Amino acid sequence: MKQILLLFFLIPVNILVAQKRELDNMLYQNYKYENDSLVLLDGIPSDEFSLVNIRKEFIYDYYCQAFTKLDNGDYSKLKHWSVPIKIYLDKSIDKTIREDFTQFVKFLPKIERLSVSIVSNKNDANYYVGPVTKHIAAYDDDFYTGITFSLLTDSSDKFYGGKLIFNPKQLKNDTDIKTKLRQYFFASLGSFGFWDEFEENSLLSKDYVNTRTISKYDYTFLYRHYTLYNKNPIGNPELNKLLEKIHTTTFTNVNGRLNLKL
Amino acid sequence: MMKYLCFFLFTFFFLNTTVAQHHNVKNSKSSSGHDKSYISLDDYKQFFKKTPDFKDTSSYMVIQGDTLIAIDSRKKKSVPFEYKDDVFLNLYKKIAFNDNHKSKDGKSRLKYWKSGINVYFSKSIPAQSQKNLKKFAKEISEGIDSLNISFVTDINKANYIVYCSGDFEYASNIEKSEADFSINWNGKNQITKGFLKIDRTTYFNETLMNEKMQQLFIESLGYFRTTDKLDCHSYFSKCYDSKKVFGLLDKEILKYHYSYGICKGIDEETFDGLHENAKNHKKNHPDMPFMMIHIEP
Repeated sequence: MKQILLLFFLIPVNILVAQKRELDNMLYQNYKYENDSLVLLDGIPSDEFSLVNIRKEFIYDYYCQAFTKLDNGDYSKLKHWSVPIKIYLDKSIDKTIREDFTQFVKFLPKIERLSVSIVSNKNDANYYVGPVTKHIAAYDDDFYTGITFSLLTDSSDKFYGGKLIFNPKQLKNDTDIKTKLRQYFFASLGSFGFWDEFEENSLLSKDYVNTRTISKYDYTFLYRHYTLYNKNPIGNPELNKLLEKIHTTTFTNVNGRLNLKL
Repeated sequence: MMKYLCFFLFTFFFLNTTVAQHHNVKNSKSSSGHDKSYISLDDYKQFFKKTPDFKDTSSYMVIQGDTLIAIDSRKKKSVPFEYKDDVFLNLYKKIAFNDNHKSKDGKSRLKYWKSGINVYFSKSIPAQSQKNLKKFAKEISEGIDSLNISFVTDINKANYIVYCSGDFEYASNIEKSEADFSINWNGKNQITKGFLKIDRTTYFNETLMNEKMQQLFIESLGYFRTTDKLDCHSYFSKCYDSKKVFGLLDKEILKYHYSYGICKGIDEETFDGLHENAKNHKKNHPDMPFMMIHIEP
């Protein structure tokens, strides 16, 4: 029987050299082919975080706002924009509101990894701001009535698109619209939540009092949030470990980039 | 329609149909002059779902206690097993074995389009987006013989519908989604229907819409899942990139998925076992190719 079966082994096969290298614990690798063998390279270890300008005064509570509690009880990972934000303001928005928002965007702090600009062509945009006539449901808190944002998120917890819509009829007046647009846009930079406990000068406070400038508190918040930008998104457990490590590490160069390995 | 049966290993718990035939099949000539191949009785029953006709003595033979049943060799096509290195295979498995959906036995299996994909666009899909997806479909399927994508204007001739929120909800399981795909498959893990839905207000311009449609479309070709092992420019990467490129590796992954040189519809354990056997075969018989046999019933 074996002699008969030999008939079936006549066609030569292209023999590819088996790669000995295992796929290790690396993320987001590039690749190349060497002699028909696939080689993955340039990745980052899954437990390594590259942080910018890290400081010791990281406060855990401060970052609670950046995490969202999921239905299963876990916390979401820290979310960041991975692409420059290009906002298109709908032409139907009142001119004074458009100008106010544009000015607000210009005042946003310059932060590594975060770029925000206004574009005039909708096709060039990845962020839309505009009015709607549909009712935007309120929950148990009037603060959330009449305005909402939604973000396009990839599977690595990075944002690449967004939409901020409001129903003018559900908001009190133009000042209310201007204030809420600022607040909600700011929150959409990291899918931050709003809190009663924040000071009045914080855009993330439900009692925010509109001012012409970004408060130091908000600047610091945003700045620190983007220091934690990592290709491998940081979750609540990782952040706890990172904070622990930061608190027990002596930094000699606080202005540089720091690689921390858990 | 061509079917496949994996004889070489684990033949019996899935209806897959590729034959690695170094011990299960032999050839001879029938009285009518046509070549005949022989497969084991068990494999025959499994594949053809019937008992052979033992009244016709020319339709079978018994060798060393094994009953071998004749099949017409014209219905059989031999394809060399497609070897790949471990780096590629590990990557491929992460993408092709989608743990998001497991069978009742807790296993996820390779899924593929057996018949051609006939895409129908609902009227609400902008012409430019239709054109873009057609171009993309042509690009990714080029050179893959067993992946045929065409576009139809008659919905009755379609097995894949692309539509927007606000249209008729063709797939109820993605009714609440702003952008997603849904596929149906049969017991052989062959995909039989596909639906791709996108919300034009969320994906508010053509660029965002086209990017998302391309991403969903390619994932729907094999119920693929994205991986954090690949850089963002790959369509099989978890991370977004505004400049995705269907590069050499993406092409290789899709081509391999639709290659006749591997078994289809199998679970990961079977996949690994088959590759292990193929490797051992090559080691022990370097001059004899390890063949996959495709049989048309």
